Amino acid sequence: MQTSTPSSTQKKVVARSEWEKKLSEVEVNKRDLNKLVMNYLVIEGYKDAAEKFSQECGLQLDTDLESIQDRELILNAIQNGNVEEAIERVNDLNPEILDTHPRLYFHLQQQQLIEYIRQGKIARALEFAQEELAPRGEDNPEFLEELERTMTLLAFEDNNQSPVGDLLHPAQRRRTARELNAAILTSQSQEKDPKLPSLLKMLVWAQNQLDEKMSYPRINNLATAELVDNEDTTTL
Amino acid sequence: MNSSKHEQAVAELNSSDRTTCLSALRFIKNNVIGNKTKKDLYIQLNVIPKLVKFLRSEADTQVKIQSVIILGSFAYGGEENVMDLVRHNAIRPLLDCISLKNDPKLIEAAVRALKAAYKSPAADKSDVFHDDYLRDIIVLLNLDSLNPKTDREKIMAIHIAEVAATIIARCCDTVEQQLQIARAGAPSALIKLLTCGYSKAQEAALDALAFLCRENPMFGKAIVEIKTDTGGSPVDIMLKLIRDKSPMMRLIASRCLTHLNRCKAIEEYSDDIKLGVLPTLVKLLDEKGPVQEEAPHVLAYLIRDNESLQKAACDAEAITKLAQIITQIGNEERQYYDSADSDKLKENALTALAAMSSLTDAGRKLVVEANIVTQIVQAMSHRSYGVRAAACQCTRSLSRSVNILRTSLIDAGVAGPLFKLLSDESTDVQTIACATLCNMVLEFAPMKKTVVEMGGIEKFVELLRSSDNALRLNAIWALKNLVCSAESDIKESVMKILTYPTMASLIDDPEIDIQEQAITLLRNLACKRPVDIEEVFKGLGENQLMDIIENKLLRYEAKEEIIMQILYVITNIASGDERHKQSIMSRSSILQSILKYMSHDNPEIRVAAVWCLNNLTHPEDKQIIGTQERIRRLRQMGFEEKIKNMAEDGHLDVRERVKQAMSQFSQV
Repeated sequence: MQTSTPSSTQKKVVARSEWEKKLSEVEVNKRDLNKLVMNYLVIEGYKDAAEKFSQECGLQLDTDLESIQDRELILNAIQNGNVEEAIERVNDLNPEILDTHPRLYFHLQQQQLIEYIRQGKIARALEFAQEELAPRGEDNPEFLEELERTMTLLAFEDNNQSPVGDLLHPAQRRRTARELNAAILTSQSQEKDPKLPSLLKMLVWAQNQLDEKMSYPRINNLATAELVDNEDTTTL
Repeated sequence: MNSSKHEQAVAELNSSDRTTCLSALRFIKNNVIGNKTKKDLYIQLNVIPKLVKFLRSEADTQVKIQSVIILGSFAYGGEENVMDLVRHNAIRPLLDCISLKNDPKLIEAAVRALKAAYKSPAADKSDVFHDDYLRDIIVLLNLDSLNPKTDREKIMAIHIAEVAATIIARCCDTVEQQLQIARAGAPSALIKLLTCGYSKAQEAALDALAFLCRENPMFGKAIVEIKTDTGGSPVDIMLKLIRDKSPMMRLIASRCLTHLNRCKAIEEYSDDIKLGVLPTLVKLLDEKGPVQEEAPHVLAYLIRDNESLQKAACDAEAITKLAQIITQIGNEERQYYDSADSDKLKENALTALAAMSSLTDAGRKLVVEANIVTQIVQAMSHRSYGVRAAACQCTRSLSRSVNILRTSLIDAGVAGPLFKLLSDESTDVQTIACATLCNMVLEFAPMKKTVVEMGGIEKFVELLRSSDNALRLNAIWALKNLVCSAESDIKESVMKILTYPTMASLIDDPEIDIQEQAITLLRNLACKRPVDIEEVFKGLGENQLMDIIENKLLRYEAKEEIIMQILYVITNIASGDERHKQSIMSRSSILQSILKYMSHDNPEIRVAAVWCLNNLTHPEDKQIIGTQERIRRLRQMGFEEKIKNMAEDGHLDVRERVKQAMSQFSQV
């Protein structure tokens, strides 16, 4: 009986010149690219940027600027630590959202608690946790875990030492803002995720697939999209 | 809780200053939205009547809008809060807000509040059907009604249409409601909304269409025949939407098509149902959250009573997926916490399994192979009554295979938990448990003994005294099955507890189905051995027994099943000894009736009537003189002539029995 062994053939090597030639053969519609950028700006809630970009490239906006601005204001309020303002604004925009997304509402209240702690308003934080967050924790044990984690912030003088210091990191505000943004977009029958990040994910995936079969100039830095010859990367 | 600031806000609602009042309203609104504790607090502070008063007054539009939003938010707090709204007569004032003459913002807030309130079964939906409210709601389905100009106004119009469609979906509880909504023109407006291009509004339109045609073939057909703006059939649009990228849309479109299919409105699309809708629903079982929760429910409804679809669902490996869901929830329940979140999913998954194994042994076998029987049996003791009912339904489906009953179900210890369900606090659960035991005591003899040992007879007899007719029916059914082909001692035990007088009164029960089962019980008691027949003679007394038979047969208009069962009671008695046969012969009215039913339109009744005759004329060594005597008497009454006329009967079964009768008559 014949046994098959893994193929030991050499990977195919594509030279930079050939690769670049192939790349230039692919026709990418400028308009589609612009739309991708616009899609990103609209969904992420950059109203001014979207407006300017639409003027520059003559692209019609398919959503109204006002609604982008509504979201921008709400998201900025979160980014600036003003949770109360964000809640008032989202309730003005659509009073159903927080009534129908208990997890989001909990996260906003958790964010509020974090902001009180950040501002050193310890008494207020304790009162808020007891009055507002504890009842949510009773309903849902998952929330209780998150609440306990947040309360741990109070136990450490130096937040750099704290095992839950990440809650005070800007990324935490971004996380809360993103969840709120997605809920608002869904309520307006809009896509909640911009297309650009998933395209980039596809690029990374495609390169990984390709790496197994051939050697080619690769994009290692997504921000610059610079092509790097493969020999360099294999030694990394 | 420190509630002084909240008390103050409520007090400020009495202020004559508009700004004070409005800012108090906004304060309350931002406190109650999303917050169950605060909703309860404000309801306790008796804020609802104040808000309702604003709506009824000539208050400022902004004041009204904020009041409506708060009322709507209360409705999101659950059943009890909705009851509070109903108690304070908040529903009508909300309906008054949706008239087109009002500010669109007020309309939007009001439809939202109504949608939230109508989610609860506690809300009385009849208000919608008063005055012009229904028309007002349907007008809102049309995106142009509010005459929107700016983008923002357009978005609002679409949103209002979406919510109006959802309200309609929730007001289709009865055929009468469906009828009124259809008459008011909702279907074509909803079909138009279906193509508006906004997913939320499309979902709501599909939802409303689904409930408008639920179990209603007339509207199902009507919906299918509406032309869309693009000229195509609405069904084609729905079939496109079951491939939408949003799982929620795929689910809702599948549900709408399922309802249309159930009401037989789209029979020409059966391939699309089998190859499109069914696989879509099975794939949705892999989703999370509300979509995963609802998908098995729709799937169960789609395949119910349909063997071919049940088979297709099995082929698509739905049973494996459902078993995984149930196992996973089971693990979480054990090691985690007492969360009610997954109860509905578990209930729906079990319901789907029950549907899939209801008609075919192949489906039942797959359930057993998925190693899930133990969990099904355990789920019969679950804290949620919906889960207990669904698990019991599953057991019922599985018990239809005697093989599985003998092995897997018995091994999983089915008897104890199932028997406990006979005393469940929910009548629904009791009824299903009773139906399941009906199968078991009939199909599998050792189960008769187990049920008797656990006190089953006492329990069934107790259930006969329930006020619920479905439950009483299943209880008498179970007793009937218990004595079917049973040993004399089981029959004796049953009648000792049930008693003959009770059986006699059940034979005259106001519920015709219960009568039928009670007569069949009598038939089973009097079956096979002369000692058994003798017991019945002793128990009822010969006269009463003959009176019952005579009276039932005299009512020609009675349900055919009843006549048939009575004829078989006679057949069984006539198989007894000379005395038993004689007691029939002594009632000429009974004999006349038998003769008459030999000409009945229903061949099964003719067969039963000839059976009576055959047993009365059956030649037996010991009774040879009696038999000859009976044959002469019956011949005089015209039976032989009748039999001869029946030789060419259109039904084989009848001709077979007639042949036997003729040969028996020819002996004398």
